[in-house]
Amino acid sequence: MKPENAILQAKPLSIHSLYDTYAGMLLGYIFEVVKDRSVAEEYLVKTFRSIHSSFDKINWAETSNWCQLQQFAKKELTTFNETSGLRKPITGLPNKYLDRMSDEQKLVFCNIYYCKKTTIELAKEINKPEALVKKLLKEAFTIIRDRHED
Amino acid sequence: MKIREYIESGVLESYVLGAASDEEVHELMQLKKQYPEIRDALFELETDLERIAQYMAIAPPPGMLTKIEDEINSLKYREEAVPKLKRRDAGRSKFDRTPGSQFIEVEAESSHMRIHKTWKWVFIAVFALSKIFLIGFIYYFLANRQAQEQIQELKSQLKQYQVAK
Repeated sequence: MKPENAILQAKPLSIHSLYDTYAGMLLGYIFEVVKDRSVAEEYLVKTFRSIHSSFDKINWAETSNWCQLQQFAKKELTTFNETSGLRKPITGLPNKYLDRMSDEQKLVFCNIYYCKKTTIELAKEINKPEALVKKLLKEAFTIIRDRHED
Repeated sequence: MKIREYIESGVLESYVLGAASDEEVHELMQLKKQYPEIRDALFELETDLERIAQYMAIAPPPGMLTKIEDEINSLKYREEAVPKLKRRDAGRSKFDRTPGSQFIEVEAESSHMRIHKTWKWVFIAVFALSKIFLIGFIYYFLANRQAQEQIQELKSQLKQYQVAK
């Protein structure tokens, strides 16, 4: 663990500290799903309400704070995603990470990143083997890392 | 188990995105304890996820934290209020007073007003004073009328005396 991350992890958590660090990231994430600023803000409030309700039950040491918070946002967005079916990859604004991915990698990454779908569910949905879905997902992560290091 | 192959299988990526099955999660948690390579690989993936989220972040509008706090506070208030209401309504009239309570309830047109118990004595004092003033007013009114009658009588006697003189 990097020293700065160690400090962040050791810092006593509160809704305020989580808001200061992750509210912008959560809002950006939610906005990509709902595509409407005011709806995204409503979902952000709902997400923090849900985090507050489960705050003491969360095992914060299990995984990174961001991954935990993202799962809360995904849960809140479940009803929204259920109605939208297979998610189309993000198009429009340039994105230094997603632009390097192939259409297949983007489809897999976006459907798992933004929707609460398991690799098995997505494999069935796009009619591809689960191993291929996992491989494409891994490739997408490699592109994210390479792009950051460029 | 070949750890390198396991890491390359894509199961770690599925896990950090919450897309792994329960069996995969259970197996991964066991392996994470045993193999530092897996722990490090997971940490790297979590960092990758934070990077992409930071890149796509949108600054929340001013007042968003207050909105969240208000929502949380209203949630707390609802949680606290519901059991209290249930307790009050259980088998008793809603106008019943608790013997040890510091408040008395006054029924208004549409709802209730809660006031401190000490106001009861103020109301009694105001009521008693109003009665005293009323009695005093009646007494002085009658006394004044009697005095006026006496003055009139004296005046007429004085006139009769002056005529006789």
